Amino acid sequence: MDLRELHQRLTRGDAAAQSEFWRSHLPIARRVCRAVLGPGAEADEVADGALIDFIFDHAHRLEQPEAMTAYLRLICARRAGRIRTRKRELAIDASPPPIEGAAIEESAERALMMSRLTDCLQALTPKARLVLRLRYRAELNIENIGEIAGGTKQYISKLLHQTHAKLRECLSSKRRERLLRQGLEQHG
Amino acid sequence: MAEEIDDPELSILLSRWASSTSDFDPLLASAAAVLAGVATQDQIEAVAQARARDSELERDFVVAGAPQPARHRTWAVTSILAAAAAVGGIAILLPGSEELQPKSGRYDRLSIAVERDGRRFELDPSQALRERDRFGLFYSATDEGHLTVVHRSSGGDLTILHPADGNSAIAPGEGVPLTAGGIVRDVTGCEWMIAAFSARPIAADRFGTAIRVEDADCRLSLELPEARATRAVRIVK
Repeated sequence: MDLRELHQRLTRGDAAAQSEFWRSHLPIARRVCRAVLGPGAEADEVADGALIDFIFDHAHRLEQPEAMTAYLRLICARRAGRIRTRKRELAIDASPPPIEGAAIEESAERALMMSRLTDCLQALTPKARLVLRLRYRAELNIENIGEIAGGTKQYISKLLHQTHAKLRECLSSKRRERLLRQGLEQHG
Repeated sequence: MAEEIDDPELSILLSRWASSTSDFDPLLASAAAVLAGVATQDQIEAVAQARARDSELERDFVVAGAPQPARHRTWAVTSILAAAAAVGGIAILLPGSEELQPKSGRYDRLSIAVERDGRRFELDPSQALRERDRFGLFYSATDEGHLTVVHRSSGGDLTILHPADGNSAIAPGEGVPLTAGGIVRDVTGCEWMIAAFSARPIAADRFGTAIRVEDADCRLSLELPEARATRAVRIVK
């Protein structure tokens, strides 16, 4: 399949083209991210995320199909580069801002929840996070997730179910901890 | 507030997380076209100008496997400077320069492109704006927030350079041009331009209390804890 045809099919949301592009370009995306972040799960995950975004959101916005691979390399380089820089800066400025327990506004609460979600996601396997991205970013059905991430419909369905349960428990636990802490502070 | 997280709430959180890095970048698309050898002339020029002022894009190019050409010092600011010159009378600024370090781990950067004596360059942190300089302002930020740029005259008067329309909100971006810019004229004594990136808007009068300048040596001190990053540039005759 030539690039122009592949681009057209990606633009139409063709599942087979998405799977083909995923398989053919995952090594490219991971190579770029590993070059910046070093080999490991973190680099691979950045690559996975960039590739998902590319296939399901960016590809159809590119004017030139011939530029697809180069664009993918560039967004991988950018994301991996930003993570590397952020890690260096975090190492310098590691003190998080204080959180005002009683006066958290809704937006702050949301930010707090996102922060907790990020923590909880770290406890999952890279595969589980990939499946979540394909589900919530790309909005794929179970079958198509299985084609890209690898696995039968039953396996993906079970993995999603387990992952949701783990995240609910983790987030609920963190919320209960905070409420308990607030209660202790108010009475203490 | 319920203590348990339910499915709808989890779905909303996961959708937000999964979409948090998905922005399409037209400049990267142009850069990709250049790398692939299929770029239009407009794309080639846009990318060359962006690479000259944007070290991140330059790095992306290298990492993505592009050959490393010599850096072109052509400015995308040309149009802004021209526009500023056309406006003429806004005559804002007005020597030595000082960079105040970011207060947190975010990527906020105000860049100042200057045309001086027929030469165009980006003002280094150690440099000052000089009388007759034509300049344009650009910012780079990884997070959304607010950006306020003010001029402080030798008499202590403050002029808001940005935002011009009262809306200081900025979106994440690299080398995003601001409409503020102009020609430095009529410098008198100790003058400064101060930029502050912040999560929330900063009221103009707040700068009045935050900025202290020693008349004797024109040393500036800035106490603006609500800013996540700042930059101060001296303006000299």
